[in-house]
Amino acid sequence: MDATAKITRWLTGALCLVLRRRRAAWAAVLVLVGVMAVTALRVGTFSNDLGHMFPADSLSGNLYRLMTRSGLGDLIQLELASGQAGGAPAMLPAVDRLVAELSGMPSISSVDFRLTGGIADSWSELAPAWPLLTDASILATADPAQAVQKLRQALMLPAAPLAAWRHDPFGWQGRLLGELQDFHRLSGMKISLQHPYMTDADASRLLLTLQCRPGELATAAQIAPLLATIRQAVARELPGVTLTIISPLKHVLDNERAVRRDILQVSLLSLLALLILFLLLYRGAYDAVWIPVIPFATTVIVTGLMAVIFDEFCLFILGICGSIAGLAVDQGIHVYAAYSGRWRVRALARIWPPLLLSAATSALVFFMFALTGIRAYSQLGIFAGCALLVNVVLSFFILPTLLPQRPRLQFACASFQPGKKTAWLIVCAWLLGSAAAVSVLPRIRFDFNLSALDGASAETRLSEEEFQRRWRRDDAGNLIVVSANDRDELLQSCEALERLLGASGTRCFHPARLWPSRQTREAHRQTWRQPEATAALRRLEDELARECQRTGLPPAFFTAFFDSLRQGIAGDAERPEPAFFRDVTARLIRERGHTLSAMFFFAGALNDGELAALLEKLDGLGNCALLSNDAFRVATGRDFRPLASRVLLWVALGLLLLLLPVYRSPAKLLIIILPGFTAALWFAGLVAISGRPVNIATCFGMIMLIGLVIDYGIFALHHVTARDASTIPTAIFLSAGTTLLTSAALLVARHPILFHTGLVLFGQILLAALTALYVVPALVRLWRGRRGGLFVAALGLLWLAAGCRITSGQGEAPRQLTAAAAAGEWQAFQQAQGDEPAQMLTMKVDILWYSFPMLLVVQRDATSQRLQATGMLPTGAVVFAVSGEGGRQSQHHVAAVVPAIARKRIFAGIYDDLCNIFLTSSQPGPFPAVASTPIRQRLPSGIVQTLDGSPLRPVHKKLGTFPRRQWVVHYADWDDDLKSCRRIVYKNYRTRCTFTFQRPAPPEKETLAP
Amino acid sequence: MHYMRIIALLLLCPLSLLRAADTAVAATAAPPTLATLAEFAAWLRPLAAVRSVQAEYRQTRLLRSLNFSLSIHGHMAQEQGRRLLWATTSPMRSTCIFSEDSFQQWDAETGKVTSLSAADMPWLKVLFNCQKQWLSGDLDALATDFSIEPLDDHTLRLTPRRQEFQLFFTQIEMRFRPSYDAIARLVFSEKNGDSMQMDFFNIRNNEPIPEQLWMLPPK
Repeated sequence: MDATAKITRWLTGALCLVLRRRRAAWAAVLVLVGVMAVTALRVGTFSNDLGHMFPADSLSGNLYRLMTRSGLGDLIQLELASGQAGGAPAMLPAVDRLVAELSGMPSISSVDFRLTGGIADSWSELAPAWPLLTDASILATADPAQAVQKLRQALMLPAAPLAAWRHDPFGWQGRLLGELQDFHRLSGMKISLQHPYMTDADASRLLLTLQCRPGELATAAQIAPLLATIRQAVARELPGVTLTIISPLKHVLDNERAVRRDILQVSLLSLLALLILFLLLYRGAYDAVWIPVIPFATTVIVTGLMAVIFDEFCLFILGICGSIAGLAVDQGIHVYAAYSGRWRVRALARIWPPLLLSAATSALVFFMFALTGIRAYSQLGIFAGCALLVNVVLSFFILPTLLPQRPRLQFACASFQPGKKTAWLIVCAWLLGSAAAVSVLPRIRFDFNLSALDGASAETRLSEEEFQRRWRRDDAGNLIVVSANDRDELLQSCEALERLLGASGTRCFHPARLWPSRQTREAHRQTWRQPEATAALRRLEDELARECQRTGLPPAFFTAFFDSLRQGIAGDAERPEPAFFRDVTARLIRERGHTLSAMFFFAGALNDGELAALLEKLDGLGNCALLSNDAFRVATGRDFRPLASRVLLWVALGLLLLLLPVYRSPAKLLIIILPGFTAALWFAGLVAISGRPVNIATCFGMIMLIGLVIDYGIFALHHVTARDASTIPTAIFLSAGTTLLTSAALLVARHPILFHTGLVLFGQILLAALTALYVVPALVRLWRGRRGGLFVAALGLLWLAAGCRITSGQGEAPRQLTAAAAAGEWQAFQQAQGDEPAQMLTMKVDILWYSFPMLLVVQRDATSQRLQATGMLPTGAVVFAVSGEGGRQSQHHVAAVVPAIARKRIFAGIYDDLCNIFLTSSQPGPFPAVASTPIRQRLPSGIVQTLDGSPLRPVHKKLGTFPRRQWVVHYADWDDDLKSCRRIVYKNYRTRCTFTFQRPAPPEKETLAP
Repeated sequence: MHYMRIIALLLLCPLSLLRAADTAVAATAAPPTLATLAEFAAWLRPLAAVRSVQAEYRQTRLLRSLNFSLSIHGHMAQEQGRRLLWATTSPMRSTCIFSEDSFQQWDAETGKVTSLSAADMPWLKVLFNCQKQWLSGDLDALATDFSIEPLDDHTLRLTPRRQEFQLFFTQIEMRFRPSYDAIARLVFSEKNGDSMQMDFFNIRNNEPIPEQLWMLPPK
């Protein structure tokens, strides 16, 4: 008796025992569920900290944590639009009342609106502060003669107050104004400097910034009432004024609302799907209701277990784990399908090996998540792995006790036994599909931008875009948030960061530029105490007095300034910062609990490589984070790519170690991985063709599904190797149908995370199930009794090809563009395409096995849609000449030496072909509110155009789709000025001609022989 | 920045402030002085007809802490809403011209003309925005910035309401000619006790200003 038979016999006995003592088994499970539920509630500590989603010591994790600590997410900006230029001042009295009302709201800690104070307030304060602000080398810049001359010029101005000159003879305060100009420029805020409050250039709008109390606005239930109260207050105080609210909190609100709405829709659709399942697939069997009860009990048991293992459990991971446990319903379906008919106990015992093995492989994949070092993923892996193992035991032993005797379920479409011809057809189709998927893999694009997962409404995104356009300049600097526990540490960190960035000559602004750290202030003061500095100061004072006397001014005119300076030199570095600085630094330094965060601006555009290098540097400092979508994208890519590769490697090794001792045959192993591999490959191919970028949710879902779809391979193998008719195809059909119908409901979700999860689930389960039910039997039918080497080699090659193709498929990072930005970039492209001088290109026409090289001189005008082209042989003989405007050909000449067939096939429609290639539509049609590159558009003419790059430029254009394709053109390597590109390939499907254009190589320098 | 704004406001005083006063006093008046202010506003109506003004001036600066006074003489010309010329002849020769887009200064000592564009000096915008605002009859802005009270039949006292103005001046006294068609004297009292008095004489309203006057360096 072999091992399988022994196991089957033993399990049959065990099942009979449980069935006989079913009440005791139920009681035991109920007690266990009860105990674990109490444990989860009493012992468990649950948190909602998204920071657990990132690796402990990672770029992205540190970015997220610092961003959270800074409190920038708790800001609300209110834009009040009067509707007319210069209308803002009239709103001031009402806005002051509004500010008072808003300041009194419990969840708002401060309202920033008026720019109080001014540099004049600090004239007398600044003079004693100079020895702290800068070192004594500034004395070398002082010129007494020039100081008096400027004073005399100022005296001639009407009504110029002299206090400024008395306390600043050498114009040192100009340095501070320079700093503030840097701040104004780098912050990118388009606010008017002519008003003592936040308003735009034409004073039509006012801007209020509200800082909310930390932690009080975490959910939609807390945010929505606050925003409604603000709207009411504005409507009451400022009727007729248009209010725009801009805040990260609106994203929280929109996301939560989107998820709630999606959950409602998805629940209703799922209910409908389950009803269809119940009526069509389960044929009205009420006992099938017990199938999902088991995963529910499993979830409760494992949650209790997790509460004991972990001191703090992530709430959102609990939600995801609940879904994964829900997917474990497949195990119940296998039990349900097997436990029917006459020999149901034996049939059930027979599916234990594949059931246990599939649960073990899935659990292994999830357990590997524990090795990622990411707290949330570790919890997810351990929870999901335990849930699958517990669920398989409960499904196998407890579910049968709840099921009555019933006839065996059979689905003819699932029990597929192909003939040789059909098998060949299926295998060929599968191979073709796989090859096609491999070929398109390089087109796959990754978008690790967090905004790709943002469910904010189009209205919110649009209003933010409009807001950015109105209030932010395009040349704004980058923002780094610096955190520290006290103010002085914060200022020191800013200075250290400036030194770090200063190495590359970067201009920056931060609070320490105005008021340095204590250490720096003390160092500055020491330089002023040096004897040389004291002497220089005395000399300057004497010279100034003499100069004043010479020009008829009182000699003591500047005495107050020098007295203040000496007071500062003798004083303490601990003196409070001048009031003028406080007004600015209050906007740059935020306090949140015991943490202080400063905003550090610096200039310069960064590409991905520079961004990554900077992120590494900042990460080394430990308390600095560059805040931008691009920074987060780059950081996520750097953190997760190696991690994902490592986990995938561990998973592959783990699966091999688990499956190899059981199956001991490479062919069998390949059959097991075939459904999962096919699903992943084909799905990736479909994603690549669709042009939709792969985001974090898609990646995460695909990795998780490896564990789940491998089950299909194990069951498919057991089915094809079973000696008698098995229930496995029915179970696969039922479980796939259940998952597909329920996950299809997610496809109507508007929230990107839910939608992409649904898409991955639906797509991969469908493909895995089809492969398991149809491709595996077909392959086995063809290779049964033959050597499996060829099969193994073919699959291995396919795998290798897929791996090679996908690793090389990393293209330019997708960009998020609003309609206005995209239209602007398109307009810029059109302008670049304006009336251009003639350009020469090499042109090669391929038809059948003939190839005609020639030179093409083309001149076009995008505005008037005029095109003129001449084709020449390298000898200079003209082959053709065409011209026309607005799509109408006015001249068409083909040289007489051209054969009639070529004249007909190649040159009859050459003008239209060249128009398709070289002219672009000036009106590309409306852009979506927010689109991710590449942007695909269908023009009114039916042409489908793909725009990509930065700025946008056409990369692909086509007319018609298979089988009615007309032509397609690809553009590669556009010049920086977007006037021409290095390579164009055009295929006309009607004439079967392929045109390839390239820029001719630059002429080699002629050298004269000596 | 605020200093420049004050200069801008002060430059407007000779014409615009007065024209604004008739409505502003009504808007800001406390009940007991309402009748007097309204009456004063009515007296200032001749200012409405002023489109340009030329005058000579004597500016006396008193630096109280140094017990020092400085007298400056010169002439000024202003075209409403367009440009202002402020020239000193003693103790040094200097001319500055303000317009909406630029500021130019020439002085005889260096012989150089210094030019600044509006982009460098946002306060230039303030100058002309205020002027337009006031001339267009939007007098609430003035009422927001100053509280106004008559001292006698020819003098108004303006006390700045806004903090940034208070930093420079505690009050401004403005005395009109008996015909109420021009300012005769302006006295600015500074926060530190210093003061500045401007006396205008030989005032000519609505006379053509020679274009040559707006050339720098002056010919």
